[in-house]
Amino acid sequence: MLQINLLGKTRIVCSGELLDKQLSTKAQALVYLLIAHNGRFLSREKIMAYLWPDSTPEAARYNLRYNLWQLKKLLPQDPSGRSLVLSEKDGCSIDPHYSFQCDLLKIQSCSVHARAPEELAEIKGLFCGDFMEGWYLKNCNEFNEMILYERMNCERIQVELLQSLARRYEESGMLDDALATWKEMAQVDMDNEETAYHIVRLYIDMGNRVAAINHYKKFETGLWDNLNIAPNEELQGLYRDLISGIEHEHPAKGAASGKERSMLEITGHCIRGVDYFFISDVISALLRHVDKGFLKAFDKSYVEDLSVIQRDLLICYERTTGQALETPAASIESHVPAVRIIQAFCKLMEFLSVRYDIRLHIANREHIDEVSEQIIHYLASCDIPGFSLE
Amino acid sequence: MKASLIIANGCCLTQDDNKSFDWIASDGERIAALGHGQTYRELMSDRTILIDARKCTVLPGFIDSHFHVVQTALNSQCVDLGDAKSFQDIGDLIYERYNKEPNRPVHAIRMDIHNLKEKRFPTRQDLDRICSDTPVWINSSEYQTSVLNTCALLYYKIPFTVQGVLFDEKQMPTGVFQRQANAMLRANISNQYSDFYRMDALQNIMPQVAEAGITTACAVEGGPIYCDKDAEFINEIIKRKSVYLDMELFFQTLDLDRVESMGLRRVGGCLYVDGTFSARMAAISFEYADAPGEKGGLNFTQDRMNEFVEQCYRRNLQLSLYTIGDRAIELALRAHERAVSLTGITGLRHRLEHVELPGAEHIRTAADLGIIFSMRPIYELRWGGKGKMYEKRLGEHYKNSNPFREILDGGVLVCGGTDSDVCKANILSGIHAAVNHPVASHRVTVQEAMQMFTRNGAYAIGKECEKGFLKEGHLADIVVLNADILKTPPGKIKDLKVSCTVKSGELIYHA
Repeated sequence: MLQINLLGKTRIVCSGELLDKQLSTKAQALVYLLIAHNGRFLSREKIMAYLWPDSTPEAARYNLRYNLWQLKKLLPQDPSGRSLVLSEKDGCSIDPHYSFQCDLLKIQSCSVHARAPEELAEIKGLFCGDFMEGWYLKNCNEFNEMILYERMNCERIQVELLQSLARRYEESGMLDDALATWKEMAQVDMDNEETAYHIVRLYIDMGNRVAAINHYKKFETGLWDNLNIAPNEELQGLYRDLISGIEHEHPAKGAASGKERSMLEITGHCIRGVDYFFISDVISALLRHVDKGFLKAFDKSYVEDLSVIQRDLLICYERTTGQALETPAASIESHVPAVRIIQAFCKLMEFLSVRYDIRLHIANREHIDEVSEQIIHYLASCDIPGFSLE
Repeated sequence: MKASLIIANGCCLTQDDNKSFDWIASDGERIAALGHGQTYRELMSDRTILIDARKCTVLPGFIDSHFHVVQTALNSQCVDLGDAKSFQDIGDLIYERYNKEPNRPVHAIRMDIHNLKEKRFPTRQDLDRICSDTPVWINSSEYQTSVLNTCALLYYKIPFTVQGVLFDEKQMPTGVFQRQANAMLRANISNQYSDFYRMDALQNIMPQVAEAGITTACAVEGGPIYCDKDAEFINEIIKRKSVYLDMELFFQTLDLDRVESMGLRRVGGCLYVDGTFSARMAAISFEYADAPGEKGGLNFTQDRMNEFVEQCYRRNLQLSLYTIGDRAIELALRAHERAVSLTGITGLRHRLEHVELPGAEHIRTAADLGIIFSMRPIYELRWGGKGKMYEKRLGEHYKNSNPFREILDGGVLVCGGTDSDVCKANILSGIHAAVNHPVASHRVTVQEAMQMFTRNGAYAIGKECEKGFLKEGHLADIVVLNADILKTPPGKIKDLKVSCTVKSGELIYHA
């Protein structure tokens, strides 16, 4: 069956053979023009005005006749013996009874409100580029206007289709598909705040607050980079709610809601005689591997206590949350009792074990400092699920 | 030691405590010696290049602290519509280019509808009548609006569904693109430029840059209106040292991870805290004289700015923020105050760009914080004074614009830039403008004005140990003028010319 593609690079194919290579540019243009008129009859004068506006009437008539002959000769008849182009004395049209496939006609016949998601998804796949990409006929103003008009029309249909499909997916609870579709929408119009709102909202609904925050931040940066403006109030409001929600939410919710657990293999190194060195090194290694967004939910008072032995934790926490914390002064004993540091470290392990399986390795154990040694003993006795000491 | 190049018989103003010498000699890329009289003779050999400065001023190579390098280069390839007074003029200029290079898209810049007798943007049909065979893309003078002919509409990837596409009564695109649509269009077109094309364009402007005596430029690239690929391109050029011009990249983005991944130690340039006086978008504390009720707008909330500035401090990035109106300056300084008190980090030499309307309190705060003002004296020549744009927009407040004298007296370091290609890359005009400020009380001395474009510029990029002065061991970046600037009447400084430019010991321009 003859297949004609007008979206992206134009093609006329029959049984795997590219026929457009054998057709002149104007012959192809004639086919596309008639298809774009969707079966409507076009007078010969009108076609000549589209394709040979600068030619004399005789030359234009000859050109049209010649190209119609070329089409008749090169394009196959369908099984019932019909030709694609119906040529009559006064004008031409696509034969409505000719059996062939065309992406544009499929798209134009699609009603985004009526179709099932599967059908919409199939039609979505037809949008593989602009209408008649790369086409421009010199001095054929009306023809070029036609391309422009159809191109806008196709863009509009694509946007409506993507929005409709994404909403259908949401209604059906197919959140992953909805998210993917909104993301496709964002490819079409990257600075669209409504699209960004849906994506952030979906991430929240899926329990992936980190991705929601990241998407908002990325969108906000892009919006500034492209347009030098901030997101609209509605989107900013959603983000504010999202951030404040984190503070009140139980940290384990991500894990409890089915988020996949990850394995963390952490190795800490030891220096004899330097109190807390091993513990500090473990925290440093953890910071390199854990999800910083997840760390936001860790109680900030424990962060403050632990920051006495590992400043990177404080810096990371402040960067991620945008909050400034109390920073204890240099003297550990006078400000933070050892017991609080030990407790805070155990709380950190408990907190991370909600999301991660942690295997802690001790390198050059013979050099471990005394305080860390005690903490490790204590930690081993706490029996934290998901935590193991190798 | 024998010198590779000697500039003799000059008035070498070292920019170091008003010291001056008669001659300067370089050995390779560094300055080897300075001296008086004819003592340079013992450094001469058969291979020494000797330049007679003829009693004229010899200065360190100029440092342009605000230069849109790629934009200047790309725009040099475009048709300049700055003088067009009608669609007919536009047509003539575009057709002339089309005739010269019929197979290339025509890109044009600086169309100002206020200068056009039609007082409106042309439509695509207007442009089609001029040229319909090749894509035509016209930029408005402030790059906020684009106009395309039909061929360009079909040639470039046009986002018809986004905001800012203007349609006619038949709901067909007029060819005029603004806001989001313009930004996307600009990004699409700019991204199509290959780095080879950028390189060609850059090489093309190098002779003009040398003629202006500029040996170092702060390349402010990327971000809104411009293109991030420009920043990446400049970063590569700097690494490969492909052009003689030393460049320091200021990437105009909020994406600090990206800045760090590119190995940059600074961020900003035109990070727009507010907009321009011309568009009445500069954030001011009073109403615009020609638009009652309007006070411009801020692009950041204080919270957002606080967060961003603090991030820069914590990452040890030098930050440069675009601030024009007093409200924008206030917002930026508040964020810096907060970041210093929160982090205790100082010494990063943060900058504010433009800073056209600072108040006395802002100057005090900036001095306390060690914030540098990177300013454009040439704006005063173009827009300052009675009857010009500043007065139209600001009313009597125009008398407070760019108060260089008060800023320097307040202890704030000022570095100067040309803002090419918004203005021409002409440093001597900048020096002239600072010395001849329309408001006499804001004027600075010639020495102070020269420092803005030499030693202060070097300090503002942390390079004062190797450039910005005529000093032994510094890079031999040297400019010779065609007269003695200290003996030139102040009103004539803009008529001076550069007669020689030396970059790293190499003579790159000689009149």
